[in-house]
Amino acid sequence: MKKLLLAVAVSSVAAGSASAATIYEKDGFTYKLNGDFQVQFRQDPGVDQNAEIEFDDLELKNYVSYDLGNGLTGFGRLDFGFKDAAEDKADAGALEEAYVGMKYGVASFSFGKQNFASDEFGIEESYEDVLGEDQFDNVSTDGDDTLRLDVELDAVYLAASYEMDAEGENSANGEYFDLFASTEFAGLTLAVAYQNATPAIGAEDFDTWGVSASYDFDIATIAADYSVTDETNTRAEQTLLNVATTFDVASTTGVALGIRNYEEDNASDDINEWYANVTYKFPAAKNVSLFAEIADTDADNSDLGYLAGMRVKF
Amino acid sequence: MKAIVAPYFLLALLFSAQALAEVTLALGPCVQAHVVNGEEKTALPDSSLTLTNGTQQLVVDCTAMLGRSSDDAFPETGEAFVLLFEAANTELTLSAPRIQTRRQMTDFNREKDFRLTNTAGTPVNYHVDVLEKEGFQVFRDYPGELEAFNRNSSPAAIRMQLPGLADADTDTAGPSPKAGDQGAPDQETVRQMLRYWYLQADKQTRKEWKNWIQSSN
Repeated sequence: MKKLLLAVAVSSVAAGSASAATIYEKDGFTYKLNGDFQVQFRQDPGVDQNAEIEFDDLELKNYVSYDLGNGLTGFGRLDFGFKDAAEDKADAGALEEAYVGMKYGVASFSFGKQNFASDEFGIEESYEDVLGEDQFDNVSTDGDDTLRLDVELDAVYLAASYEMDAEGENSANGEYFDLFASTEFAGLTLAVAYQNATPAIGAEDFDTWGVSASYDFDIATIAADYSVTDETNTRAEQTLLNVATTFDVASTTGVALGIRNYEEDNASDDINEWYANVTYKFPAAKNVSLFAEIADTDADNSDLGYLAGMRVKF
Repeated sequence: MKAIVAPYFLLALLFSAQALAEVTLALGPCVQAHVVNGEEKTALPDSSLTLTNGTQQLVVDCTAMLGRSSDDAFPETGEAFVLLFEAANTELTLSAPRIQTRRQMTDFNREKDFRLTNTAGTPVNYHVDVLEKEGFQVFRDYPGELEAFNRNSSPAAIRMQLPGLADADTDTAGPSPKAGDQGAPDQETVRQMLRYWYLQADKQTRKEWKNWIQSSN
């Protein structure tokens, strides 16, 4: 489940935790540790799918920072993910993010292995998806030679990132330039994102654009996003539209409903996907949740998919 | 008819007076209490506390899910704060601003802008300060830290001043009880002194004190 802040999530707290995140703090040094463990019993929507135990997130996130004085902070982040290892996949790399940076006032600059600015885009609320979260997700949203700048103002958030192609080096891959901007006022959140991608050295580059809007009605949040990837010599234009709503049915229970539409210009039919999920957070410890989701697409012979799982965060 | 109604009326009055002889404090969505008037007591967000009338001192913090998406959001706890206020026969609500970003959490830690209001929405005055702790933050001894905190000159500290002693720190705004000028001591001062020394006492002393009160009755 990504992006849009669920009403239930916004209002949620980590009840019962002694001091969530911060492990050690002294003389300007801070060490924070977060974790996200999510395991699902799942059968994906589609043709001839079977049920299994899936590991969605098995993450440990380490953050250290030093107060360098005069408003300057030096920080480092090292995040490990173990879901592929849990699935016994051969190429189960555990390192998800590894970067360092400096923060001054509202701006922070970081470099290393991290998410692109366009990873911030999107409003969808499903636990799992078939068609992709958005077009940026369908292209690429993270790299290992990435420089990133984040600026967080009162009502405006800006991010820019550049992934070097590192030609001739061990980390040689594509080149990406990403921008993201969002603003919030009176319950309305608007965002735009842009990416110029060159997926491989010497390949043709192409652009992806996206716009999104969400409005918090207090009793429910309604949101939509639209992203489009330009055509290239080898691929037609692709568009992806998301519409989602979230609402609380109790102080502990949130519901999300959504549809998405994926279309390729030269394809005869576009594909629609819908999903509905419910999340229950335990009152005594809202970082522990149970959830269930059903989803399906209108692709030929697609069967309904379902999942139920548990998540523990700290 | 009047003869029948009057006792019920008096009974209802008696019960309502008893019900009001205390303070009900409702905690907002992110506010969690750890110490209530010297006693270690965990009260979860969106719950309420019943307090005896008088000076109230709490250790509270606020934990919010921070991140740019619900999926990427992780729980983060702000500073632990000491809150000090006077309340009697009322229902209050203690809430923090809506916190969704790390920047908002940083602002809240700096501004300490809790909102303490009565049922009419009228703000109630309070003193607040950070209960600072260096080193490991995971298992904090909030009652012990508060005891040390109360020995400093913070406006949110409960300071005790015995009758006849000079007021050493008159520039601070926290309650510093004084005895009445003449004759019988001011009962509010007596109350605060009793509470102060109760908070200073260890378990054994408290037990002895309670036994003494019972035997005195």
